[in-house]
Amino acid sequence: MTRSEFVGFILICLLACASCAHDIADRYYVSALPPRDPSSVEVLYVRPSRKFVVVADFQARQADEDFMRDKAAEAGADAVIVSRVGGLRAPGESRADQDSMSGYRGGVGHIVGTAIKYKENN
Amino acid sequence: MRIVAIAIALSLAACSAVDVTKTAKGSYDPTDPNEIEILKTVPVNKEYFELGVVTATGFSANAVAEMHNAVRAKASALGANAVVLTEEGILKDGWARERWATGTAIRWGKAEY
Repeated sequence: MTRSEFVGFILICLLACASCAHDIADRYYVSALPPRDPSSVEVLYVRPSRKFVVVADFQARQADEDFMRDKAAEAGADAVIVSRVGGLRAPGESRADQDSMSGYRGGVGHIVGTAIKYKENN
Repeated sequence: MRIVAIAIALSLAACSAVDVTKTAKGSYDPTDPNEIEILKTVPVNKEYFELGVVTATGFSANAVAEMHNAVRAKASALGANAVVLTEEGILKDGWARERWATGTAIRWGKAEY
């Protein structure tokens, strides 16, 4: 391998790792639910009106909704309620309701997901 | 090229940020950041539960109100009604001065899950 090939290889590794989820923390409250196909798991951004049971809580940096959906599917959940919390503050933003960097997927903020199972006979 | 790289590195180093880590079980709908209270003492006559830990860093030493609004903006997604700032200070690094704060995001009432 030449020196430039080696440098290119290292740069590719670093770029690949830039998208890696880390600071992953999972909490499970209900076990023994069969896993399901991730495509059948809803991704929600607010609590649904249907009654539900909380199956698990997930949290990670540099992850996305698909990451949360996959985890919820493994846990056997019907849906996962997702939110992006924390992150960078853009210079010059003075309003409390101003957050242009909300949802920024860098390593500073967390994405959190609550996996839920709908109660029958809602 | 080197000057551009240094400029980018310096600008990133100066970024303000609010790190939020959820500690509560379950999920709560986002709240209006304008309505989030910044408290310095734990409420005693009002029922509440904790949602998560909040840490603000990288703010100018005299940008207290700006930092509080950043905390409001970032804690709202958790469903917080207030953030109790338990510790606050100024970091000195040579000539640089940076304000930081850490606290707990809380929600009024009882946890629902």
